[in-house]
Amino acid sequence: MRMRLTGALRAAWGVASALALVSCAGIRLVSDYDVTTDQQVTALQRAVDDTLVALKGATAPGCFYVSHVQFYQTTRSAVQSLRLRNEARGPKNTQTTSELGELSTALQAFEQLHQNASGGTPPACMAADRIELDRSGINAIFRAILTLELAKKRNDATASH
Amino acid sequence: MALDPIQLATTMLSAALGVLKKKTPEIQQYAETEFKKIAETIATIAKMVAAGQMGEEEAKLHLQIQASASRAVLLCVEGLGLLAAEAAINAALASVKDLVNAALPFKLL
Repeated sequence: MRMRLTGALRAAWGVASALALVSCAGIRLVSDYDVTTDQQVTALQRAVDDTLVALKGATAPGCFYVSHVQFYQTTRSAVQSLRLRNEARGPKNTQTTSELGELSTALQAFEQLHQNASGGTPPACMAADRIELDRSGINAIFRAILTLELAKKRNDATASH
Repeated sequence: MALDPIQLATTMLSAALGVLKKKTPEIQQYAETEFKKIAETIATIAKMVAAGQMGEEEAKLHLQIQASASRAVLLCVEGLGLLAAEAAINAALASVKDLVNAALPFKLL
């Protein structure tokens, strides 16, 4: 009887010790929701999508890369700013930081396609169906970023205690 | 009052599984929807190349965008998975908070 009681107490203290590692605020495996990231990514998605849709319907010479240099510079700057902000939010935010890296890569690839089309012989507008392929991929990246950011709101009441 | 570790474990597991059962299908649904779209786009690019409508250099750049999209989706799934694990662990702790605190001379949780 004494041995069973001691064994049960030992097990109870084992569980209690494990629980003692956790604070009353609960654990956090992912960083908190950031309203600035949410708003800036949403605005950037709108700006990029508007440009891609406009490009689909554009004709020469307005469709050429040279007419959109400012767009690419502004977009690069916006993504870089978001990456910096999210890097600063710490190691529990690596998924968002990496997603922004993928956005940067995709936009660079699109910019290269645009340059190539405009620099061809003869210079040409990017075909609407090609732009749509890339628009789909770029929007998938934006969706991934926003889906995760919104999930960080943790609306579930069991998220912390 | 002695804590029953088996009762604690059962209660915690039930709470954790309840959270995971709810969140896992949502993550799966998101991943399936996104990868279906990406796969369709990649298939379209392949058709264009096969039909001679798109050259190698151009195809590589279009595929690079789709590869970035795929990686971004996987990163999102990773993040959602971590959030689900976090919620499950916290639900498990919340489910035994009162029981544990009542059994100890101080507030542990």
